[in-house]
Amino acid sequence: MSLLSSSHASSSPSAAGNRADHLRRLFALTWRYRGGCFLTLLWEVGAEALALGAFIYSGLALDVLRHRALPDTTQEPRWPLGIAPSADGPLWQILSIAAGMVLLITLLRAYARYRTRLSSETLIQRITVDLRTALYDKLQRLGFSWFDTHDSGGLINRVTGDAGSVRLFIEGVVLQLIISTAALGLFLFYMFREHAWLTLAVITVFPIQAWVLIRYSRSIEPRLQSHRETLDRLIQTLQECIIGVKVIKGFGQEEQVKDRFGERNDDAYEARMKIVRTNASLLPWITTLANLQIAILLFYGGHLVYIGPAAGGIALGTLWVFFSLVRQLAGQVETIVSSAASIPESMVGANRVFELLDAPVEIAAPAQAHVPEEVRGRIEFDHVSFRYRAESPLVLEDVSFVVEPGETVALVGPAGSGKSTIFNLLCRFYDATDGRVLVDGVDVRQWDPGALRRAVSVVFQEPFLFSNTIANNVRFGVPDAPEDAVAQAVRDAVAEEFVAASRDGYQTIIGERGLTLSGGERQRLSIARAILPESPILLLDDAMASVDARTEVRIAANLGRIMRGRTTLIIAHRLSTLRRADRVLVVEQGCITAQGTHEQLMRDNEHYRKAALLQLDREREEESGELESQEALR
Amino acid sequence: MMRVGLTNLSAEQVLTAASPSDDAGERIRPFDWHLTRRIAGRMARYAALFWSILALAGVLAVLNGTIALLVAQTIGGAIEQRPESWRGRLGVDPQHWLSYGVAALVALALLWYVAMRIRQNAVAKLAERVVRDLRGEIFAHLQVLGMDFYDRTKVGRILARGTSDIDALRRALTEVAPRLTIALVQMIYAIAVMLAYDAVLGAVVLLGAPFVYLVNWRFRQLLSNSYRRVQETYSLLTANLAESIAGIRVTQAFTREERNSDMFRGICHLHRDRHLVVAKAQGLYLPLMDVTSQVFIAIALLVGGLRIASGDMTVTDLLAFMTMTGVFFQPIIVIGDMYNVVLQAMAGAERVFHLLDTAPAQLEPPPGENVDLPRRDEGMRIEFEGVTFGYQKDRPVLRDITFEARPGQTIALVGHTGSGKTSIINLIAKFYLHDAGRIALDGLDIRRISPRDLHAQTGIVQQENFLFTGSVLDNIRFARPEASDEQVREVCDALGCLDLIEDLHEGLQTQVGERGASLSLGQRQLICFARALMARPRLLILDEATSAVDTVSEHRVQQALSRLLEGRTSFVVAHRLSTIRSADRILVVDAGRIVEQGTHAQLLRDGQVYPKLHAEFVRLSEGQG
Repeated sequence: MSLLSSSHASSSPSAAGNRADHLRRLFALTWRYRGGCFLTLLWEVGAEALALGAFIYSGLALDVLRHRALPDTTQEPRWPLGIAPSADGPLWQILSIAAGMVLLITLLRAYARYRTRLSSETLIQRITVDLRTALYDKLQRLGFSWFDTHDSGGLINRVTGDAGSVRLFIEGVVLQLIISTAALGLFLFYMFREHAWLTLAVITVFPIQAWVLIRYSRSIEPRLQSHRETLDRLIQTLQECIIGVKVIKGFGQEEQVKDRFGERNDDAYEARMKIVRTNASLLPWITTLANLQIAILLFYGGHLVYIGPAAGGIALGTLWVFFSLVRQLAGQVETIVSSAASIPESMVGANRVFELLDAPVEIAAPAQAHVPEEVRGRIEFDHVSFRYRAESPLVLEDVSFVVEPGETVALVGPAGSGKSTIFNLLCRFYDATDGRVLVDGVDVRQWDPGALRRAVSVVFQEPFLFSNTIANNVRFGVPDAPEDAVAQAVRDAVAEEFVAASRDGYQTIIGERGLTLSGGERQRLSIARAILPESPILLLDDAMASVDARTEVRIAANLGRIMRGRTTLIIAHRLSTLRRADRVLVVEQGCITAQGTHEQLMRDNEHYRKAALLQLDREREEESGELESQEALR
Repeated sequence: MMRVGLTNLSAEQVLTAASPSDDAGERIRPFDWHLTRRIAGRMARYAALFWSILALAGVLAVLNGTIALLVAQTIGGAIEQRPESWRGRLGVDPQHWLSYGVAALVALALLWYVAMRIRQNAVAKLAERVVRDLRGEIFAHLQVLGMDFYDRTKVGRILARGTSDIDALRRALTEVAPRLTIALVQMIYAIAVMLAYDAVLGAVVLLGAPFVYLVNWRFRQLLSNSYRRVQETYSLLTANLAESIAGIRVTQAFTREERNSDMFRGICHLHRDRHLVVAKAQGLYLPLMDVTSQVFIAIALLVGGLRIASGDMTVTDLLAFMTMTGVFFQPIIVIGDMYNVVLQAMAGAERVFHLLDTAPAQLEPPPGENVDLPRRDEGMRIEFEGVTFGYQKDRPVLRDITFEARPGQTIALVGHTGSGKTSIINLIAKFYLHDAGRIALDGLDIRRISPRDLHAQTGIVQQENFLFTGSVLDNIRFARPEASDEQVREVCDALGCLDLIEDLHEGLQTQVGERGASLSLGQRQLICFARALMARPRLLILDEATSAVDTVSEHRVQQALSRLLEGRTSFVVAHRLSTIRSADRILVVDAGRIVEQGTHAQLLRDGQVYPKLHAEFVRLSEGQG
């Protein structure tokens, strides 16, 4: 739906100024491709000139024949460029020359048209690739907060559809207008030279055609709009009835939804028929007007042929050329009108493209970015406060803590207390609203973002994997990692069993069309992905929530070995994790309310002790359950 | 045939190796007799419309040819009048001949407009009606199809049947059939006129035509193949784009921005190269068609010229002949243009008919064995006896299930994901039929009960709390469309939540769905409860939501739930501790079997699996609270 309804027409007072600005930018963009434009234009105008040539020679042949048939009432035909064969030669010779010229010119014209198509397509593709890659580059660099406020469907459309409408502007509007105008100019130049009055009589039809087309596009627009709306509703109903099929069946309401869909279906039919009626009443006028134009040409032109060139008339061949040109021109008028009509649409698209290209990159590298030789892994939060959006409440409030290199620190607290936000700030996915986040004593805003993120490996709460092979997902952060390193990471994340069991092992493609993984399996692969780069700082955001307890113990043991001497921050619930941690930070409502070792907290903090004992209960039951089921298996 | 997915790019060179585009890779012929007959069958209903369109197409084709002919004749009559020709015998002054000719031309042009306008309306009417009928049929068939179909078919794919496939068909109906008719009649008319003027010249054109036609068709095939390759890279491109955006956080966390950009550039370049292949073919094709028709004009000039010199032909005849050549060749390009449209339409039609041909699962009782489910005041009695069931026959997901639910009892189903709880529910609601054993409702074999009959006495609450776009009122009334506003109010009141619903932004008229997605989870749940109660069910099936709501509404939801369950036989796939604890009986499902059953207290004391599950519930509910 976003394809149809995402036209955010801006109504700000500076809209007009913006439009002029955008138009200027579009022309500037076109100018960048002037070489390709010029080449296309050259071939196209050449092709049109050759078309004129072919018409002239076939008209000439007609004149030759007519002169031979009626030598008394007609004149000797006039050959173009003064190159004429001897008039007394045998007829077949003269005719062969004329016919040969028609063929030769047609072949040349075919070549010119081939080159036109090729150069215009090359141009279009250059523009498209440039725009798409520019947009994609930009998207890769925009910060998280930007993605928080933009929906992904719209973003995809910007790189595909909207980039297309910018291309359309250059190709359709700028180029096509120039080409059509040039062709029109060329043809009219010839026609005026041959007979100005006849030309004038013939071209009176063009403005009428243009008027019909403009009227058509005006009256069709609201109908298209209302058809789109009815169709949207139809699709929405269809979609809902597919998603909600269980509700429909469960209540036995098939007939009710059938009626509802029937109404929508009828609405769509009616809306469509309105479009069709407009089409049927206005569009045939274009062809009819072209036919009337030919009638004018015949009436006046036939008279001119009758009186003959000597008396101010024209030759039969010339009338033939006029006839052919008028048919050729009918298409040009339509092209000019429809490219002019497409300007607003491509402006809307261009608007959105420029908006994305202009979006500020909030997380940018400072001028003298900090890129250390070696990262020790000391983390410090210095009175940090944060809110995701200006109007939303603080998620972190005056948070201060230090994690020394090599320490393992667990963060505990209820959902929404701000634990994940601490990770987000540490990786500088967002900038702190107040206070400083320091890594190795340097403010993260002074770091080169790339260097910072290479120093920190994250396992997100949501284990997002790409629809690619298992191996490529694991080596996502280190694309050139050798296979044994990938295999080691997979072993450390205790994922080797299900990887080995997959059909193509490490080369198995996962995702919608490939292997479907369970939540725990996804988490283990994302852990493997995070430990492969051997970063000095590892962040685990509830990374083992879907992993069963025994596997978690195995992973934790491996992590203990791997992370020796490196800094680890873990968001977790399980007691074993809290016990293993050097220190536990209790996060509640955006504040750190307690910290210390697990033992200290158990001793001194009643709240913590209560929560831990409850957790202990659960784990005991869990373990006993597992033991029982193991025994049952035996 | 080509498969969707990687083409020329290895998995290392892209971000998304498998593109989620569907329905591709089928072998489609541009013409399929069987499909064409079925499409024609849909039009049979509108026979009058259909034949009038064909007749009008004939009229238009003849008009096209006649207009061209008239042009030549008018000039010819004006410039060369020989007494012995038929024009001469008419005895019209050449000066007037021109006026008459032009007047006739104007008349024909206006006639053409009228015919075209009527035809366009008729064509659209026919096509749109066929489309509307087909859409309605698809939807009706979707209502008949069982849950097995929905479980194995993706939403997007079903949607495409009613949208893009139908659109492809529409294009074929509005463009191909009528334009093809015009093209054919026009060609026949033109060749007949040409043969009448001059048999030799006509024969030249006629003999050359099949050659032109073959070249044209072959080119279209080539084009269509390379165009399909363009579409492949395009879906690869969009799939990569979509995943780049969805995975942007991972990308930035692992500083893959530049590599991703390189990959994307690679895909863009491949896409560009394939576009250029298409452009080259197109660039060759159109001028080639132009050259061929010009060759015939040149031949006509040469041969016709010599025949004029020998007195067998007049200049007017040649002129007419040349205009007719245009009339003859223009349709070939039109036919060529149809190739892709036809191809897509056939593919669309094939998929649409495939859907319509999908046989619904046999859930209705065998003829003659149908029994009516009695309507009583108490809840339904449900018995399972040694029931075995699998979504695929050879892979049972439920084995030897036996239990009994007495009228009015609340049965909680607990167990891990995939243990078979939902499958039990699916069997009770007769969304599927069991393979072995016996299921009895009120003592009647479920096989002998019509699903409609059962569903009329069932209330269902799904985990997702699915609501339709529309007002709260409409959503509650969904279960019983004839209910009055007052009855809806009564139902809400019976649940004890009328105040909460009337407190909504616009009360019962509050819109839900895309525009009004502002309802909280608790509010949505209450509306679903009300909807279920509206059905006055004797059997209630409830898949509890996993996510918790805020504490205040939680209390109200619990209260409403207990009122909803009262006096009905209820099956609850439970995710809430309180629901489990208050159930009359708990069925513990594990790996397709009922491993334990009893009350909460019994199971906690004597059970082996239940205490562990219970602990997990405790942990979950604490975590959420």
